[in-house]
Amino acid sequence: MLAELTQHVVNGLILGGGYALMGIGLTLIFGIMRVVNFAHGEFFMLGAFFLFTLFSLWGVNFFVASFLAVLGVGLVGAVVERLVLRRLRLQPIEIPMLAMVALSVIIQNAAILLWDPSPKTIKHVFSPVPLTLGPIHVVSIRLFAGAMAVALIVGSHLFIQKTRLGRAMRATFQDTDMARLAGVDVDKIYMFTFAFGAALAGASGALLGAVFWVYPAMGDLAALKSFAVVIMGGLGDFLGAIVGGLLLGVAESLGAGYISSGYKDAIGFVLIILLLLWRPQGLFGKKTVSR
Amino acid sequence: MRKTKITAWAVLAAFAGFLAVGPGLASAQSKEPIKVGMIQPLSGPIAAAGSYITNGAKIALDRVNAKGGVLGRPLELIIEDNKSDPAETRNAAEKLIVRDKVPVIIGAWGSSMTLAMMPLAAQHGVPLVVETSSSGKITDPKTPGQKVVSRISPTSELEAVGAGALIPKLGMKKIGYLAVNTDWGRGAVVAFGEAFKKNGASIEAVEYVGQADTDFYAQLTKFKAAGVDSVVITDDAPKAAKMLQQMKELGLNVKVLVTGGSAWPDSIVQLAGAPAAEGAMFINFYNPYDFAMAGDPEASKAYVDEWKKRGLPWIGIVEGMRGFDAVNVVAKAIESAKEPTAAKIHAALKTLEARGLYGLNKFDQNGQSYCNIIVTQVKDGKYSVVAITPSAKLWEMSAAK
Repeated sequence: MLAELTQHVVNGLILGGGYALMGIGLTLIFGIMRVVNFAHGEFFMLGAFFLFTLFSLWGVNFFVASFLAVLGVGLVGAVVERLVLRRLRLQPIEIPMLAMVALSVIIQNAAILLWDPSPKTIKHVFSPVPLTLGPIHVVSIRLFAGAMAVALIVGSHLFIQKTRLGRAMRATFQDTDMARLAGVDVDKIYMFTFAFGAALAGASGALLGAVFWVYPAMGDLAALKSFAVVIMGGLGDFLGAIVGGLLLGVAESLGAGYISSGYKDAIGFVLIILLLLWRPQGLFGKKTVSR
Repeated sequence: MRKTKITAWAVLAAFAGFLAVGPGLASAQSKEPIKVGMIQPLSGPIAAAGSYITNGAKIALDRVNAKGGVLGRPLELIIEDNKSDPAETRNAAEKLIVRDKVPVIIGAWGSSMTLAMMPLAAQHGVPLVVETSSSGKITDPKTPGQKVVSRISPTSELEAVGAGALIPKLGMKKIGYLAVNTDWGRGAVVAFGEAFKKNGASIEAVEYVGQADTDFYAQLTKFKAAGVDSVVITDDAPKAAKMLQQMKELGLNVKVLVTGGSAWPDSIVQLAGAPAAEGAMFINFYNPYDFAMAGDPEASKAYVDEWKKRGLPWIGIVEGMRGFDAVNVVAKAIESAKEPTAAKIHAALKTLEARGLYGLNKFDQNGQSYCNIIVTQVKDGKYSVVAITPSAKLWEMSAAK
């Protein structure tokens, strides 16, 4: 009984780490830049495909390939911001949102054309034999994914809080004009923030792509869940996205294990609805009023 | 003044051009292609299967046209993407019927997808050739739209008949059933449940998975806790491969049977790796290694050779054959209908008999055909056949009823 519960919780925490990574990326883009990024799932998917291409097709070392894949998605994000979002920055929120919807369709179909829709397995370097802690089984690749998610989350937090660039980011989104007056290159910050958020989604995709498998539509469900995570945690709140992601992962795992596996996605979303009824600003969000 | 002159010359040039092309257009009428509609999932989670079936259909199409087409005219496939979704299937069917005016449609892969377009097709009298869907509902007279259906793929009930006798031999007593949460998966659980009960086995736990799910730890953990000695899976090849891998990861080392015809030894060995796939059994409808098993050995060889020639993924060959047979059935029906209209094709399908890769393709009073049911297994990392119930035998059994 306890063994089963523990296994479910462990499963849920590792999945939740992946959700959390997607969540922090989106909370930066949606919560801080106020861009409704409907292409977030496609950055997730590109991370997985870049890893597949570098490691499985071109034989690059697994860890180097993972790093390059994340960098690659960051670059794509930077290009998207520079070419698409910068021109639309002063438009009402629906315009960039529509542009992101279009981008999502374009990227997903480009992936179908470039790599064909059959699912690809990344035959990674980790052993398929599980590590056992009593009755609990965990495979090394999942531990690796979990550990990397933690490392990236902690690293991102430190980066935003302690570095000069991180300070410049926070200044820009707190008050753009003041930041400009203080000498911050606001255009560069916007580009970097979007690239950073996209790279985090790409990292989540590369990690989860290695655990599961890679196919062009893999970002659809991931994107939906990351929006839920961000709203649940509070728009723009870093810690909220982390807690939200982990909570969703564990809730899904327990829901699937004890209530109904066919509807496990619904269980997570029902929980979010209940939470928002109680606290509309999310777990850590601040109450705001829009005029 | 100048503007009017330029406009006048432009109009004259266009008119002259039209005169030149016009007669050409008229003579093209006699060689105008016969349009056949096809709806498959070309994007979304099932895109891989959709692409295999479409490629199989194209191989058959080229073969038919190379032999002179149908009724002296080339056959043309108008392919629509249903995005792995039932609502989109209905939209695609509407477009094909109303705008393209096709007299017959092949599709739409998933049972839920096919069921979604049946009432619309019946309303317009357009016959459907169903190539993959396995839900019993599709050829059930109580289902709206069933009267226009001719299905060459087997039902889950038929699969259960073909595989049921094996169950006591395999020592499957306490079964955990993992099925995709669609009409296909749910129907299979019911159909196989009956067969298991008849053969002394019991289903200890049934768990459903979403079409786009990748993680089955929760469901498999439950099976482990319930103490199952075997797992039956109804889902497509990539999901089944993932389930097998995750079973090994969780330490659930039991017998496995995968139904539905999409998963087969070669695809699972490639997707899950030989260690995880070893010993797993599959219900298939086509053997690409033994042409004599098919209803039309010559066509089977031609199909496999062309598949290899086009460099298509080998793991998809047992799904591509569904598209291949569907196009051949449609071509034969149009040929015997003598007229490419929906009503004539529908009548022709009712009395059609065509040897194909599935076996003998013909349709009983509910529009259902009976194909070969082949149970295969991964033995020493390779493809091997465990048992086969031939199409001919199943037709005999149904006639005897």
